[in-house]
Amino acid sequence: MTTPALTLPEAVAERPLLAPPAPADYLHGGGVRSWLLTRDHKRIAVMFLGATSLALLLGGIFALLLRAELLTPGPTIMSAEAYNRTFTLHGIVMIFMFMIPAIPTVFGNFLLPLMIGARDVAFPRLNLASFYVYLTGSAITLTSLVAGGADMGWTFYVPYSTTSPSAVANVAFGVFVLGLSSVLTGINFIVTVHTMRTKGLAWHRLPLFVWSLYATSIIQVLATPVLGMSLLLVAVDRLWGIGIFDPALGGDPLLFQHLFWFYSHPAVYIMILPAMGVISEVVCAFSRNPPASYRAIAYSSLGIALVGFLTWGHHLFVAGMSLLDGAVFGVLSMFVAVFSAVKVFTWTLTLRRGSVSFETPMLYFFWFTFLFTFGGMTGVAVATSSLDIHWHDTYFVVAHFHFIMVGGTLTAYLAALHYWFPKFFGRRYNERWATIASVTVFVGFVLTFVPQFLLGNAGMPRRYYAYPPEFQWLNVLSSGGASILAAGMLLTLVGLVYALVAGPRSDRNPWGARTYEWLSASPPPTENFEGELAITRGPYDYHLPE
Amino acid sequence: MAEHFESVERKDQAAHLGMWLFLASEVLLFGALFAVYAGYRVEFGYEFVVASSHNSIAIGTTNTFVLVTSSLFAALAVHAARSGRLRRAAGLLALTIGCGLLFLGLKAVEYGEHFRAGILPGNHYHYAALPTHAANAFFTLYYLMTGLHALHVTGGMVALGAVGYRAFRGAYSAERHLPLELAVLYWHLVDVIWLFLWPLLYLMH
Amino acid sequence: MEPEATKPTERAMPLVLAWALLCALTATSFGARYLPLGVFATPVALAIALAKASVVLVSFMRLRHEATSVRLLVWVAFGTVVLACAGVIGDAGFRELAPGPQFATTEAHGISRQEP
Repeated sequence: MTTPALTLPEAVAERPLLAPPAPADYLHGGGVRSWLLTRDHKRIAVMFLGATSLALLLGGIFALLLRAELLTPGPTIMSAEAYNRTFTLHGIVMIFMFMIPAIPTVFGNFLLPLMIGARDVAFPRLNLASFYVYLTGSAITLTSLVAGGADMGWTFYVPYSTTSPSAVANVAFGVFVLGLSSVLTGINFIVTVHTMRTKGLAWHRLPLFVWSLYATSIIQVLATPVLGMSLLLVAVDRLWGIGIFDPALGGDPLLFQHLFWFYSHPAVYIMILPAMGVISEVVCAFSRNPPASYRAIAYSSLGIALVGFLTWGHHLFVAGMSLLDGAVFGVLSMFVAVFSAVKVFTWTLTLRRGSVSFETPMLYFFWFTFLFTFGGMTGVAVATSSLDIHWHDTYFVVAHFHFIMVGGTLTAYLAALHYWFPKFFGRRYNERWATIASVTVFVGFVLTFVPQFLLGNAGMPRRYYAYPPEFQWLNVLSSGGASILAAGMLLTLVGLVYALVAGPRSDRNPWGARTYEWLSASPPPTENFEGELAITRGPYDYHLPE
Repeated sequence: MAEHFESVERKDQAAHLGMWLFLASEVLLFGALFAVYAGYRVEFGYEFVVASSHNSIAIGTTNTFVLVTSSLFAALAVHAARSGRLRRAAGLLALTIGCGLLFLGLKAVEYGEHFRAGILPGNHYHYAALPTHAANAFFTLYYLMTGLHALHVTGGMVALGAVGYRAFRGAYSAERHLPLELAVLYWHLVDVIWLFLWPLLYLMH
Repeated sequence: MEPEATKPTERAMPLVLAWALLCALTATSFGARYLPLGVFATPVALAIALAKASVVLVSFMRLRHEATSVRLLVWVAFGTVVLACAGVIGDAGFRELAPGPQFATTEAHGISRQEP
């Protein structure tokens, strides 16, 4: 079935009027208009890659500003008001514009159809709509910048969010629209997995990344509307004084927290599950080994999605919630650790008797495993309500969730970016450069967030503008780490942009992986596969010829 | 648009599953409000329930019959379309929309009575007969739930109008009338949600 | 899936019967309001609502003809709503220290909560 990829010289393809009769791959052919109105899942993925990268850059700049401000105990570069607005936008941009959409919309969009041997996702027009809804939501969110910023934190807690004089409504409405984009993508993916699998692709032959996307999509479809409703209630309250959570009208602000975390806790699994899928693919490809247990990884994804819905109350331990809920949610929260541990052990066992090589994606696998395990264990610690009373709203929690989100999701995102870079663009990045960048990211990350664990344990509250002088050395360390992390990201960016322009051409399957996306050319032709793909083996059958 | 599916049946199956997923997300949108209702119900207890008796049971119950009947018309419209009687299907959809209009009309009458009595949402509430926080919260929720539902009724009528018009023009056939089925599915969901709103907002005492 | 549209066997009568059942259940629910059911009033009303919703789903929405995945989805969505309500009730109904309405002392627009 494999025909060598016909690659037109770019010079030909870039002449828009020439309109080559059969574009060699999805990247070439057509002008700007054909990109903006495309229904090709691969082009939509590349557009999402651009958009979410900008969000990452923006969120990163906010983070650096925050760390610069925290270099000294008092005012450093900005006012307290500006600081509040900066950490709010850092959280909003990173979570709703990068972490939640990034891996599903970029790598999910690109790879899901390829991995199941389909021509496209089930609803290509809806897919494009999701992209523009994402852009609209992001634009609405960012109008808050023009309106002077919003200062309620990414959690929108009432009653402050309904009384703050800043531009909360813009952000609430923007995030509502972003949520719509998330739901549309989720619906599309679930239907695609159910109806578009090619001949011979039974459920237990699906690559593990597909399982993780499937579990993620379930959360997106079922949890996002609850967030939408709770943010709508905040926005409506600000507009018309509905005050459903307003204590002055007898309302109960805790109900908002319940609704908010009913989404936002499962949302952390929206962020981490696709990352786990990426890691599953990477560890198999670079140890040339099937997963130690395919079913353990596949089913624990569904398990995490399920249990993820049962744990939201652990965010309310010290908010005045009942002891009953406190006990129930505390215990249930720990079950997530069981499923996560199943995954970590299975990945580690996959290395056994494998032929392990240490290319950049595999480095990120190691960073991920290390950081995620650390972050996960501190998660069990804060799920213990008696301990959480001490750590709640301190830098300990900040460090915990950054270990999961940055140490987990971001490293997996970078692993995916390097692993599938040849698939996306048909070029190789420079391995040595990428290794240096990867190590820099890891060192910077550890240096940024380990001091924050210590700060939190010593009692420094999160979101504070000023702090006692004895906390300064740890804060300086953390800010220094953030600079190294930023340098690592910059190195990554430079390396990948250089590879995009001048990297050597890649083979169809440079890593010798067995998952089905590598059966098509790199970069894939517009129609993905020549004719219909028939699957006769599993996605990790390294003992069989490709 | 269908060419990337392996068959027409597959495409229908995909569209149905997609629609049901969308309906599930709609259920959760209302689910958030149901959860708030549950919270206030147990917090305020009796006073919260008392407020519901200030709603018109007559209007609420009539509206339940109206929506249930509209759902029958909608289901019969699909039945007619499946046997190729498209004019009949369009007529039944017109009846469905008529029921929807009647529902909204009664709702408007009810809202009007509430407005005159000072039963308004949030901090605009000034109903002298029931000056409690519990009643205030109940009626704020009442407006949010029924208001969101009314928006869905309106959206459903627009969708039904669009597919009804196309059925009338003969754009469908006994085999190909997917948009009609999907729009009717949506309408049924609007009905199902009302089936839960009605006892919670009108029948408690 | 075979296109069932061409089958002449499908009748409209079950739909009408389902409607009659829905009307009967609505009348039952309405009647139950006036019975002295005490704490069971709400569970009974919700159970009847659930029965009616099932009729609409199975008969009108043709759930029987849908794929297993769709039937599963209906359960999952319903379960998720129940879960949200249960979690909220587990908090709101069992608080030792309630920051909610009991502590509301601010008088808004002349409305004050009656003392418990």
